[in-house]
Amino acid sequence: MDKTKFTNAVEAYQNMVYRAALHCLGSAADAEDAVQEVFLRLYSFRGEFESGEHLRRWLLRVTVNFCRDILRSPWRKRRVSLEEVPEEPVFQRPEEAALYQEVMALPEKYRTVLYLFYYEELAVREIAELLQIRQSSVTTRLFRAREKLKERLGEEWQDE
Amino acid sequence: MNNKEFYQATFSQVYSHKTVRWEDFERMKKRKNLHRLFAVAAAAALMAALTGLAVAQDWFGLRELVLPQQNQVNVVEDGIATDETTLVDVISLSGYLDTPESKALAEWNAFTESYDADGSIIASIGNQPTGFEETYGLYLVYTQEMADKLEEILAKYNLRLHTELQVIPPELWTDAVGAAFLAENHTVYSGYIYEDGTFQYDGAAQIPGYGKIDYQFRRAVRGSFNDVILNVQDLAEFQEWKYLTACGVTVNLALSDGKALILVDLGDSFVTVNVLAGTETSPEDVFSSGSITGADLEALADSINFTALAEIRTPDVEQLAQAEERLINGLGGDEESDPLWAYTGIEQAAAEVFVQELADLLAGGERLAVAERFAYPCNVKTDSGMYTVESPESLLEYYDEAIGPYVYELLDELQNGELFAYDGLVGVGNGAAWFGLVEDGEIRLFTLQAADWNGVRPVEEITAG
Repeated sequence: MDKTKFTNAVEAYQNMVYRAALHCLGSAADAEDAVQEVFLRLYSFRGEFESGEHLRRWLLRVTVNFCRDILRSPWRKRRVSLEEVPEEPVFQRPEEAALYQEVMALPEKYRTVLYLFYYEELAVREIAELLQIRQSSVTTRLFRAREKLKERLGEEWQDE
Repeated sequence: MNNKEFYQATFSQVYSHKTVRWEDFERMKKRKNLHRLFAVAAAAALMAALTGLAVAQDWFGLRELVLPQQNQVNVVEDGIATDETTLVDVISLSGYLDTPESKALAEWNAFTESYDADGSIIASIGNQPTGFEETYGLYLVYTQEMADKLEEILAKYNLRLHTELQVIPPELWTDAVGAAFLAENHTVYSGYIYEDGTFQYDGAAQIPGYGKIDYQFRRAVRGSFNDVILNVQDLAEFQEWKYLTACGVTVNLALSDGKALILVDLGDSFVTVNVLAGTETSPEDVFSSGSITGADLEALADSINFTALAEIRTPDVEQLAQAEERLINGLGGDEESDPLWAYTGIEQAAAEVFVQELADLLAGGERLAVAERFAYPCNVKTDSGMYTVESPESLLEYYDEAIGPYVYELLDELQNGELFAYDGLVGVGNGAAWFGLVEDGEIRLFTLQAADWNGVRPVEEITAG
């Protein structure tokens, strides 16, 4: 990959990688490390991307796989405790801060599908392929995640 | 505002604060090359200058590799480099001194030993671009004078510069080199390959009757200029002999109190294996299992198929990129074969049987049988603390706290979680269980853990093999 394409990719997708990693890992510091690692892999990548969408999907896949490997490491904790939830960003509205807090308090498997579905707007089939799980697992996790958000946020989170 | 809009409005206010720059990765690549040079010298320097008996025999091979110019290195005391310096013998890793590659290296080494001796020029440059990165990015060139000298040497000996370096993940070495040259007792940690097939990696081998030993493996292809040298301290400390390996290739073996070497001239390339142990290495050394003997060194040489390296194969960049993408995407290789076996040595069917049997034992309350599945020693984490256990019987003392309360959660993972390979091990589900092959070829459980982190884990980081 040449410098121009790399720089453009960073500008376009760094925050996407960070947000995806943050949802997966639950730690701002770990998510920033993931950003570094994912773009190092992009820097080292010798292939070609057919389109911007191809690059975006590739980055999401690398991010998810990298984070999954971190979580599954046999000598590390499986889940970050609530006490380790990072300092919250500053939000314009209190309900946004509440959503952020409640999402980050969810188990990783719910956070990840929420992000990919609501923020990246991937279809259930695409999420299943990315996470290498069954489509039924994706819908189940989305259902349970929505239930928990409804329970905790009340009317701020609409019924679907 | 619907949920999607709400979600996007919220998380669009979450930003990364990391600075990601192309230049930083370029410098990392350059520093890695410099680090390799200094690490090779430092690894040798770390072996303390012991008095030990010097058994000087016929070390014809090493003598023909020693560069005329000794190098100045920092004296190491108790593993720490001091300000005091000393002169040491260094050897070429490009071939014997009568080859153009080593003659060129000898001239370059003599030049660099005296150039910018106080480091004032490179200090003034710091991390700024020098303008020499594009042509000399893989070499220590940061002034026009250095570039001119290097070009003069290249022309004199009709050599070419390396133009591209590719980092190779451990799983792709056979793809990169094009041949399986290592026996199963080897583990490759990381390394890199150049465009002409020159490569270097850090690895380890399990030697029967000895244990694990770390080494650095380098194959230098003829025709290219390599500036990598190796500090061997004092030639007089080596005993050396020729050895006919199991693959039929005769190698030069060299053994001193702090280091060992395997040297092979394959015609179109030269191989150096820098073994990080010698006859007086401490058992506490992090790179080895203690002092090694000539027989241990011969066993290591026997586990390398040098004939597989005789043919030079330049790396297929596109193929490696595809293999790396498959690796990243978790496909691992040919989808029609057994990816699990390819990366762990455990067939998919065997892994599934292991998991099913473990689940049956857990469900049946077969505590001792579960405990006997683990590799020992291991660490047990409970609400009351962390404990190291050495046997299945000692694990039973903590079984009811570490595993008992989580049986249903673990069963759910074992019965519904998918198997996957990572770092040579098989994981299940969300990492509830990890297992792999141990020395005797048996499958052993390394980790069984609950979501709240109680459970059983290895004492130290484990790697495949």
